[in-house]
Amino acid sequence: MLPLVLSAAVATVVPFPRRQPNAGLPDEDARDSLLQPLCPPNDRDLVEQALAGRTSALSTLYERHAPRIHGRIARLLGRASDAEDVLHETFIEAFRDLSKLREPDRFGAWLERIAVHRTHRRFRYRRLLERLGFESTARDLSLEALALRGDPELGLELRRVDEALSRLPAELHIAWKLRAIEGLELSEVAERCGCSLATAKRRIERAQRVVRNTVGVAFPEPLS
Amino acid sequence: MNQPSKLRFPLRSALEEIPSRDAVLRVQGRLFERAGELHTKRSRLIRTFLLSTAAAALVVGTLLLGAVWSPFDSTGRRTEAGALLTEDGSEFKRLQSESAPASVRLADGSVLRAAPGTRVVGLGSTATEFVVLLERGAVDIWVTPGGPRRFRIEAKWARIEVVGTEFRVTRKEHGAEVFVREGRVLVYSPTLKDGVAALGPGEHLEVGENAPSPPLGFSAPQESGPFAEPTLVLPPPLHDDSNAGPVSAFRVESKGPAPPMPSSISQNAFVIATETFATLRDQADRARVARDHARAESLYREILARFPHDPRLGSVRYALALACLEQPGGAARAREALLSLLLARPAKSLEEDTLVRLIELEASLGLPAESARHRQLYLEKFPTGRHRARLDLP
Repeated sequence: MLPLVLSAAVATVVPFPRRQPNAGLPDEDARDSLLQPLCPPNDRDLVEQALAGRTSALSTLYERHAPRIHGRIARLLGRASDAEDVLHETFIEAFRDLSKLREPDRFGAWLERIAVHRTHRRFRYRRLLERLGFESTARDLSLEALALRGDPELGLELRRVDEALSRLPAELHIAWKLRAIEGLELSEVAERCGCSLATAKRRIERAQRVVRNTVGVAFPEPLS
Repeated sequence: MNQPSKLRFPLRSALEEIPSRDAVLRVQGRLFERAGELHTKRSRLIRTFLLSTAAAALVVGTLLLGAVWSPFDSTGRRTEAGALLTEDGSEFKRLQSESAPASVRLADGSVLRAAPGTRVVGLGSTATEFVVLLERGAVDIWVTPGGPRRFRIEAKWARIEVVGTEFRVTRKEHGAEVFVREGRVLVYSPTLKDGVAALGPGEHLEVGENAPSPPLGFSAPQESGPFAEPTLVLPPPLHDDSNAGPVSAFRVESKGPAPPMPSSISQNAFVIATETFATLRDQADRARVARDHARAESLYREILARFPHDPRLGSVRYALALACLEQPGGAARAREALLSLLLARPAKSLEEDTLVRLIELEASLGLPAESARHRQLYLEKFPTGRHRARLDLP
């Protein structure tokens, strides 16, 4: 008896939600988002919705991928302000060229490829500015700064690695970091860098050789 | 060769996570400010409509302009757009006088009067420029002030440019001589040190291959009395338009000593100045890259002195500051350059970088009060600036 009374009271106080036109919902996007199923949509669905003109899909795509992309860019570039700029450029380019994406369910990988390309461009731009003295060489997110606290020896090694990498061409630098730091497979490195597998291997090997010879430290594991 | 390494693959496991949340939110704010316009048919329609309207307006404007302006003058001859014609509506082609002076009045009231034995040839006339060549003799020119056209007189070894004034140009065997009665006149000549000299009322200048020395066109310094009034050699003014004022003709050769030479003209005037802003800037930047900072500094300062109104001076001041910083004892000069850059109201990004440099420089120079003041200014102007972390700002 008591459960029946309680459920009746709850039903009186909290009315059953009914769909009414424009009943307190701000706009179409918000209404659509409320009506979406609880199971999160995959990237393919989101891309299709975005192409159909739904802004909320773009926003969801951004929220899903931006933190990972930002972390990756920041580790590649070593500077927070640059990473933020590149993140912005990456998503502008991605959303602008969304209709050119052939495999919507591989949106994440496509996005990373754009990010790596933008990072490469930023490296070259930064080198030019540094050469002219308009850019500081300081990195607030250098590998040393990111090393886990309490291990000064590792920090020292990472600083020497960073110094060696900073003298390398951008494409070698990026390929090595994608492999050695991010832990991507060789085929993934090749795809992100937009080059062949052999070229990716060669770049990583060259960078690894410089790190080993110049700094005197190396991974025990083979990278390429 | 290799020492035991603590590096483990993948290295990311040995690195701290980067706090991305704030950056991601900031970018999201910027990215979706105008997200409503992305991929919406309405925005595309509006954009198309605006573009079509602008194109239509451009076409209509061009047609209207074509209808209003006719490329033919009253005699049916084709003329340049907005060309300055003579008083009787014909194109100025030549002014020649053999034994008696001759003159011509232009449509805007300007007058050219040729001394005997003079030939002036019209080279071109547009809405912005009126160009003549003085082939021989001497010509007095009175240019109506406030006109839209720059008058240019080409003579041997000299080009004279003027907007509104009265002056005389005399063609000599090896050059030309300019005497200014009113206003200011620019004389361009490869024989001048900087390639150009500005003459004021009463001043005259002779330029040429074998111009008298010392100095060019000027006699002794003004010690023996005031500059004597030149002698009138041509007949009275030919036009009696009292509004325009009489056109007085003066000999170039004065009785007394000439006024002192303008400071911009050196004793050794036969130096051709060919450096432009870009070439000087290029030299300075190359000097910096070659780490010849003293030379770079002097070149940057030369740019500042020679092109004081160039809109690109902001980056020059910034580069000057960096060149000073690279030299021992140059910090104070660098600070001076940065302060002058701030006063010149540079672009936002440059202003931000300048402030950061200034804050760090003043802190290193032991000027904590100034550094704090600029730090506060940075906070006010760039609350979400790129260099907040570098400056340890909250």
